[in-house]
Amino acid sequence: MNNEGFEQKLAAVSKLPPGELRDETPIDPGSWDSVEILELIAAIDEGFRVTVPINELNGCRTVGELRALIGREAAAGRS
Amino acid sequence: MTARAAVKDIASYLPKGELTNEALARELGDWDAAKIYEKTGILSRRIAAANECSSDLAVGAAQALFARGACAPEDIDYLLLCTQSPDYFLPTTACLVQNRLRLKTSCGAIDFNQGCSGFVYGLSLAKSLVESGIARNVLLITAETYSKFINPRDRSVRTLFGDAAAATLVAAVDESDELIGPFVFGTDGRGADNLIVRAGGLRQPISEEATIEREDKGGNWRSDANLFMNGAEIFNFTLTAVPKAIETLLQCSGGGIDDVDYFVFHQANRFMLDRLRNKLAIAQEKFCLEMESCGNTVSSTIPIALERAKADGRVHKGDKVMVVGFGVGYSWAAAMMRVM
Repeated sequence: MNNEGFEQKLAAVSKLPPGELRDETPIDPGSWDSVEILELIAAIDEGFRVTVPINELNGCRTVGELRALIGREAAAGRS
Repeated sequence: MTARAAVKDIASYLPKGELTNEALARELGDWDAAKIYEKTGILSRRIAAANECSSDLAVGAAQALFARGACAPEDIDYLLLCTQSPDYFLPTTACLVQNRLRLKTSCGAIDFNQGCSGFVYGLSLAKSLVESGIARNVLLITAETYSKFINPRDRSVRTLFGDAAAATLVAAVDESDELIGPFVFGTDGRGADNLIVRAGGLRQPISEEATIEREDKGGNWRSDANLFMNGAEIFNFTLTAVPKAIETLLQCSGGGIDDVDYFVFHQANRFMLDRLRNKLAIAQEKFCLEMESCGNTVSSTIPIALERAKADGRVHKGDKVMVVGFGVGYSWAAAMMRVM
């Protein structure tokens, strides 16, 4: 899996330096604008070959929860 | 020899009203013209006048087609008109257009309600009419005035959609090889709420409540009588459904990506098309981007792109072209066609 693009995009939408993204880092997808969400979805699709359900993405409260969501979708083969 | 259906010619019509990125930036304030272009791939959109409806655009496109000499009005024996913004609930817009074009009264004429997959659906219907012997010359018109549904303060859709019509002649030719097809279709009504005009039909008639404008968390305003698009859900659907449809179509047609000369996808926006092209590993020079001057014109994006690609030599007679429409419904359809 190539998660470099995903990490960079997640850092950008979270307004954090990439090195500060830890599993416990809080995120607030509800505050991201629609273009930022599209760019993150694209980065997840390109990096992990999965699409994540938007309602579940919006429910993620930490970086770790989002990483776990991507892992679950990848395991379920939702591409 | 069995008559085969072929796309003989295409002509489009754009209304005169124009909405540029500069004008949008002045109105919306928080995005400048360059950012709108960067995110959408669109420089300007054509907008129908207040008294200009889908039938007017449809007539303009058909007249342009007849002016090119592809056929005469009296040659048409079936009119298929795709629109989601009809002039009236009833009668059909096709009946209005039949009369204004002076098509013969023995001509069949129906509307069908599809959005961004509408052109490919229309091709399948036209092909069936021709190859079953029911009609020899089918006029397929796609015509939309989505701008009439769009709230001026809704950046999420106002930056994308433009009004337009396209007229396509699908006619019988003496040819043994299939010139339109195979087709792949898809439908998933679970996505109906993600691209919708809620009010104005009979489920939710226009009322005072239906026209109350509310602001969403992104700062966009709309009422239930306006077009709503959940861009993230539509994007997710597209990334999932379109590659699978294309894979199935390639299997049906017995070839691979490299056997297709040119790809004309629904011109939703450049961001989405760039991701699809990347995901499908399609060469840039074989992939159509044709939305800068007219935006997302719903069911007309594919025929407008085909018309322009043929006019400027991106596609040539005999080329194998893949057309793919996807969007509202959710509905999607893909097909192969030969350029005539």
